[in-house]
Amino acid sequence: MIQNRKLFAADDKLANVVAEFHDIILVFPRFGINLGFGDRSIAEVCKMYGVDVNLFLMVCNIYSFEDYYPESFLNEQQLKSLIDYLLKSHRYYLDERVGHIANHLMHIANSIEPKFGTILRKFFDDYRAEVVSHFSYEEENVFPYIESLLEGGERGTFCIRQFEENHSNIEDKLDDLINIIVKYLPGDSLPRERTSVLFDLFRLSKDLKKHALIEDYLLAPSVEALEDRRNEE
Amino acid sequence: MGMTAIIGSMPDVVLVERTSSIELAQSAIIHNRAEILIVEPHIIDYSSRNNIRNVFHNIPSTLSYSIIAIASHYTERDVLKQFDGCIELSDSVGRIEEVLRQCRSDEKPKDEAVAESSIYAMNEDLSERELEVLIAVAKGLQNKEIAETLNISVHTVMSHRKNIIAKTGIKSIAGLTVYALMNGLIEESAIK
Repeated sequence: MIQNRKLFAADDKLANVVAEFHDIILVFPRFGINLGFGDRSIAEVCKMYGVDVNLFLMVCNIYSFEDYYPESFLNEQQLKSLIDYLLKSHRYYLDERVGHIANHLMHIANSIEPKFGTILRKFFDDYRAEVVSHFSYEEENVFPYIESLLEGGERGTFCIRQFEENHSNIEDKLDDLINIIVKYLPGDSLPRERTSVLFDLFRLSKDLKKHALIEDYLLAPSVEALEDRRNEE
Repeated sequence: MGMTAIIGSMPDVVLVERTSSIELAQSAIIHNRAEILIVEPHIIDYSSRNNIRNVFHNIPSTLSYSIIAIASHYTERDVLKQFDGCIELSDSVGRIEEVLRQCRSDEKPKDEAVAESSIYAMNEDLSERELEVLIAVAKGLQNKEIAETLNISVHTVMSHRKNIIAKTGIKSIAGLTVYALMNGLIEESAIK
């Protein structure tokens, strides 16, 4: 039983789902869906925007239910759409969230003893570099491999297992940063900004964990199934 | 009678820590609010002996504490002058107690508000061993190197590390380094 609640279904009204599970509004722009969809059901909204309703449901279910695991592999069209979704997510994290948080942290770093400010800045700069390299690895190696697999082209020596085994964790450091600000950052400057940056960090950390689950539960197993099919051909 | 026994026999004084590390001695002042540091001047590098307070520069200037020299070897007068008191090996128990009490009564009254706001918020549940492991991890040492330095098994190092994560809530090495830097356990220059 998943949290004593049924999973999302195609005929649920999207607005009702949002009212109960706020976080899913984060996935709309990545599917190109805009707000203002009235009382339409999930199926109707997806049709309006040309989104695969089953893929949308699986992503929303991963976002909202802790122990949900997708019931089926993605087909080739869905895989293509998922890569597009993941790319848009990367852009959102880097261009909108990380930069915004960095600005807040700079203010805070400048307001405390310089020695600690330097430490805080360095920690976040290193983290940012790590996120950039994590995403570029996927964008430059993993996604092109999947695309070439989808097109039946040359595959080289890469296989999706390598991605699964090396899929590094970029959430731990964010959680550490939260703990450092909550428990150990000296001084009492800019209390409102500290609170606000904490909310940003909580949300980004949760979002990144879901993002990793989408790659681990949806992307990787579906690509593995596709590799098997290609090998049989 | 050794120093530990003499301090133990004074009803109004508590021995916070015996340590051979300058880092842990600073930690005792910062986190356990130790009021007196008793130091053998010869453990301090010769080139640093002309500025003793600077050796303990992780201690915020808002914390007041006294440093007493315990002179077991010949120590230059200029070096000794920087200490708040001096104990000689030939001193009687009574004389040693007098030096310790003298230092405490000399202490300036603390401005509590200022002292509070500048105190590091370190987790006090960490044992001395865990602190040593944490410092080593923060400096960038590998488990095997830590095991060799502290003369314990790699397995023990890992179990200390697990406890450190549980107690501080910090998982990554980068995060632990920040923790150690912010709490004055290590210096920026000590990181590998």
